[in-house]
Amino acid sequence: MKAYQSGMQKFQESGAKVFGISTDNTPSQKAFAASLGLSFPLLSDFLDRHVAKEYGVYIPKYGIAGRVTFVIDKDGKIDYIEQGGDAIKMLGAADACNRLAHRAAEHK
Amino acid sequence: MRFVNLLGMAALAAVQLFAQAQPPSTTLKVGDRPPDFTLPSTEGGTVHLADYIGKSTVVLAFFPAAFTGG
Repeated sequence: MKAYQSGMQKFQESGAKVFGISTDNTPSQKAFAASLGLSFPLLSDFLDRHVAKEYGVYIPKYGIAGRVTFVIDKDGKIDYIEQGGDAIKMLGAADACNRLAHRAAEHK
Repeated sequence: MRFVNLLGMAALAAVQLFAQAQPPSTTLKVGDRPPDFTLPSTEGGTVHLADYIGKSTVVLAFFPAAFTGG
């Protein structure tokens, strides 16, 4: 999440709305967000982990979500998926957001 | 000193545990419609994904647990 925070400017420039999602409860996420000074919301999939499961990123052995980032375009379709080690750097996700922003600008 | 070494080894083991905790590849593909959801937010209230679709690009960043790297 630290990497996302440091890359937030890029995301904001592209007009993208960023949400972090984990299976932690909201109080843990609030403490975490405060400790890192996050400027984007974290969403809690604590209750039954159904979102992580529906997105196919749930790791039953640990009861947590894997590090996977989805970029969703304005048409509501998944434009980009970044997994594992790449997701931590979030470069691809930021690039995808900028590409979508440029595409939107061209269509104006 | 030995105690410190043990702590270090335990930390290393924990890091390796998370490194191995890579998810099975997501079943969703580029071009798919993402499953809708409503979840509690750290900014109060809940976030309904559908409320944001069409207004801007949306980034959903799943991460393993609070207070882990990245």
